[in-house]
Amino acid sequence: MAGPDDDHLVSRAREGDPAALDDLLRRHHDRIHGVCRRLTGNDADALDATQEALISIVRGLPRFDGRSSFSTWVYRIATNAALDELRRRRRRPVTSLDDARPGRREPAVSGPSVGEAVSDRLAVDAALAQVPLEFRAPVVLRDLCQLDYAEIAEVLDLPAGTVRSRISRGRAMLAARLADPGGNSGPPTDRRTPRP
Amino acid sequence: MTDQPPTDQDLELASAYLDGEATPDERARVEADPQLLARVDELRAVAGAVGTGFTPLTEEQAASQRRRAIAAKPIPTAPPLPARRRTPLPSPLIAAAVVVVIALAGIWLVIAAGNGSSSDKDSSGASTGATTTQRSGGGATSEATTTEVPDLGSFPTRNALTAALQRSDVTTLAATPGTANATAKAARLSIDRCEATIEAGQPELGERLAVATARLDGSAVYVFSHPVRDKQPPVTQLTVADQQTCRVLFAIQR
Repeated sequence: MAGPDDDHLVSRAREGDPAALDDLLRRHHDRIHGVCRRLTGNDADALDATQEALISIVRGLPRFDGRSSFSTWVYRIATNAALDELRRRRRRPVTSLDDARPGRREPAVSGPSVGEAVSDRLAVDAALAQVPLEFRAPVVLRDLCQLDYAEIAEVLDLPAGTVRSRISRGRAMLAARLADPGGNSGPPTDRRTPRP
Repeated sequence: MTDQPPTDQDLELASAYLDGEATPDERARVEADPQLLARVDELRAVAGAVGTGFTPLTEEQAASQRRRAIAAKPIPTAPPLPARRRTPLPSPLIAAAVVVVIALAGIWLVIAAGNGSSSDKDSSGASTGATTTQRSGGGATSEATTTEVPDLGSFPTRNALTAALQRSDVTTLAATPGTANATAKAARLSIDRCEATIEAGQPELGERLAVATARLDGSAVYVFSHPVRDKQPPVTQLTVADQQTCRVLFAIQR
């Protein structure tokens, strides 16, 4: 995903070249789907969110001003599409925000238990679903997309320091849920977190 | 394996270290502390789990999604103009010229009517009043490889064309005040190709009402008039597309 290549394709796509537009979407498609998949937590919602994200990219391309990199812009759209999908479906439980308040101590993480749990993809989905979206999004952008903290801050419109702490707490919550799937996470709630 | 619950600060330190986002001081602190290094290993396993373990899209799914997205490409819509305004009355010279043109047209019509009786039987398809094209019905190519459509004239800018379209009759596009209203011949296939392109991206458009040609900044364009479905009060969209590429340049809705 080299920047200059993206810029070139963006330019051609904006001039109406459908092949360039297809190349551009193809280049980012897997990551868009990955973000949507990890944020929504299931294949069906991820498929819908990915489609919406692609359409938003195509429709928004004339307004893309190049102030951020194209990939950052794409990740922002993908994240928002996934959050919109969750909002529409209203069926993915997330942990109460009370669980995420500063000072709340996550249970100790046990290495072997986490290692066993991460090999189970369903366990990972279930554990991620228990991590509030405001923490889940930066973790996904970091661990799936390999964005650095500054890029994540740009995508989510957050200060870099907040990104750092949210990734840390999000990972801690995820590790705790993987180590102890049934315990200490509080009742799931449908409460939505603000859009990052 | 760790024995004591980590503090928030420890977790943040280990997490930042894992991501290569720790300061040199923080790195030194982590590397000097076996417990923090153990936290880093635990978080590494968690991070790895997030990045893997779900089924990627098949190439077929991906291609289908991209096709749908590209087909949904919108047309740039020109900003709405203020309410229709009457054009100022023309100057006396222009008014006089218009009167002369109308008078000449009347004379010509009288002459044409006098000559028309002998040719009525074969003039059905190409009458001067055939200012709109109908959607091709399938086997009609021999009837009209060329089709007469109104020509709206030349416009130096998008705003000038937009202003003319705001005043036009959307059902025919023929009577556009202030523009030449001569007919021009255009290939029906070319019109249909461009219309198909437009409709593919805008399924909400209904059956075409009319089509016209024009020149915008020197380039030949089509102007399509379509009703927009399910709009109350009714809305008509006038879409301007390049004749060569069918690329939609802009559209207005009235």
